[in-house]
Amino acid sequence: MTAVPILAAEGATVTMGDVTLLEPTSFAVMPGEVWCLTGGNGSGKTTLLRAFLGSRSLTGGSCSVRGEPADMAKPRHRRLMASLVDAIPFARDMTLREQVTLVAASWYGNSATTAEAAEEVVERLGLSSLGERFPHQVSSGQLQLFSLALTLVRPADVVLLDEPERHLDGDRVELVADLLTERAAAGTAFLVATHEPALVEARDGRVELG
Amino acid sequence: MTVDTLAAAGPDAADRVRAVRQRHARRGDRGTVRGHAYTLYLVALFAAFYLVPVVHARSTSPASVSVGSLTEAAPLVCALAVAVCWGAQVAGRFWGPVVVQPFLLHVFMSTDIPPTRYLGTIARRRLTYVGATGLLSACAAAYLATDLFDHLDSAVQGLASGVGLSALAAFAWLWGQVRPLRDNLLVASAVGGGAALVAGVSRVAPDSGVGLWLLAGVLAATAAVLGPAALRAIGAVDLARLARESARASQAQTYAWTGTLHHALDLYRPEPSGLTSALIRPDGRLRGYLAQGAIRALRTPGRASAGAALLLIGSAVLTHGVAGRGQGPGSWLWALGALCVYLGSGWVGETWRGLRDELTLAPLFGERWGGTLARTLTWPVVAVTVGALLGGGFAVLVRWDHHSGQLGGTALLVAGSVVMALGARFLREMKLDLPLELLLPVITPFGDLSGLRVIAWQFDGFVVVLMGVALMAALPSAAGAAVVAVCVAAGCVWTGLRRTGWAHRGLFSRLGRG
Repeated sequence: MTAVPILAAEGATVTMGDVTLLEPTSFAVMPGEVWCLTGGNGSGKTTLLRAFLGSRSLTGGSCSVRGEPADMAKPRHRRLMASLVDAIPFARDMTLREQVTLVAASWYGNSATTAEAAEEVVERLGLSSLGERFPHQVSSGQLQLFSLALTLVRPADVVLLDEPERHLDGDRVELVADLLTERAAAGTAFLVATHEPALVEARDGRVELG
Repeated sequence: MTVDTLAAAGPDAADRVRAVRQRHARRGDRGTVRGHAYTLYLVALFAAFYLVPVVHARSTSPASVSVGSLTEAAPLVCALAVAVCWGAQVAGRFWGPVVVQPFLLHVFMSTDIPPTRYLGTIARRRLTYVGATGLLSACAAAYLATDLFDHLDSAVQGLASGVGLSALAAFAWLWGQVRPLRDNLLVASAVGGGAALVAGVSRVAPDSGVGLWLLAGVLAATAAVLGPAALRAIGAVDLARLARESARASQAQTYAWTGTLHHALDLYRPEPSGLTSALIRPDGRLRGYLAQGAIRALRTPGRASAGAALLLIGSAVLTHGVAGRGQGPGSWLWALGALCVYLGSGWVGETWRGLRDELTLAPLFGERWGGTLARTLTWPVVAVTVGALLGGGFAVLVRWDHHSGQLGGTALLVAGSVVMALGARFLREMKLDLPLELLLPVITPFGDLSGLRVIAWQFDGFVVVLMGVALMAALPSAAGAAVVAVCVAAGCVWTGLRRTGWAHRGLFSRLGRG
């Protein structure tokens, strides 16, 4: 039996009038693989991620998730996929740890797993000492790590990340790369739009756009 | 953990929703018992000092408005029902019952939990509150202003219609948010058609007195059909759109609570689209000021059309009201028309905001005499003038007998009202953040009136137009009233410039520099 790719693009194209936002692109990501999207500004990295999320319509070709067209309205699609593509609307009146735990609770309910999953991701991303702070009390880089924590605390078969290295120093980028590699080894696939060489090095495949 | 392992042995959706709600309810700035008690205290205080005396006064005096026979009241109530339902649908398009806190929505919509699970309860609770509040408010207004509740038969019929209308309006509010535009147009047409039918039947059978009963029945039946359909539609709500609406509502709420309601309203302006290269001529030069303003207005065609319609209708109503001043509803129509012109003058152009920015932010364009004002004011002034001429001219032509013999005075008063509306619009558009001195107490024998001052600042344009029209209507001479209007407009412009920090000694030298 042939394995079904978790993500597949077949000639995915987006145009707006005379402008091409995404040139025809084809690739397939298998479970447990880390793929990178690279290319200059405006080459279509975020557009392609949004196409997989189902929030951007294609003008040609297709994007599928486990063999089905990408569609956010489907619960199965939302179950399979986690993403950090658009900014997360943080709750200004909850601490970082409370917010991460809330996301975990939306998946694990009132079980012990909720606290364990939240604590694990907070610790792995070096946010333990910042857990009791509110979003306005941390730096831009720490907020980026917090966004990653909110994205990675939930279970997912595939994770879409748009420039996860944003505002991060070299050490933190290494931290994120290690976490992605570890999660990939456990079976989660990643599609990461990035300009960061350290993340590109850690990949199984790469799509150069533009 | 991947989702397959979780799906095999994980908690069900109800447990997950409950877990999130419990944690979210324990967040930092949730409402406290003391806070709720203080709200209750204020409500009780308001009821004791204002509501009870008013209700007592009404119970011992005749009603100011008589609804007449129930047959005559039915068409009016039908028209009211249509207006309320349409208004509820429009309100739902902007701020509906399933708007929730953006982070909470983000958490839920990132899961596989069906939206009905986490939005259904919120929607039902809010619809109940809104329906009950609407019914109480309508009954209170009807009791205080009319004699509807003075007789048992009319009271029962009025109450039944009110219950049906409040239920239908609540469901129409939800329908407006969760269903696409096509379905909303369908329901709006059905409501309009049904109301026309009921009004027609009540006219055809004048002695039977079935009009309000029929209306109550139709409203209840429509609510019974629309309600479950609207609640079911929550499951298919466009989550991405709901996330945008919730984010915008959250931001608007913050602005409103910090005293800058105009910034909150700015968030609901439509985004421009189309005519992307029309501002520049083929040879590379910018188009003239008038063309620039028109093109920028046409980039938001819905808003510009609404503005143009308001200008035309408002000018016609204004002219009709001015001609009939001193008799019947003339002065009310005058004020209503002036308010429509004031609203239309803002909606018809996008350049007001540009003027405020140019006066308050770092210089962007090269300066020369009159450049700023000419660039930003040419279009709205011309559009309002043309709209007033067309609307006013139409009103005169249609009712020539009503206007003949006093055309000069009418023209003076209409022109004065339009100039005053433009001045009020300038004042409103130059508004920045709430001045802190407005928060200082204003101690009077009637208590601290600083709240009234803040409200007047928030709605300064409306206040200026209404008070200006009242002043003009009180003056015996049209020429004198027009002069007063121009003086009010000049005062508004001066105050507006002061708000931007430009009305200091350097104003004229700054305008003349270049």
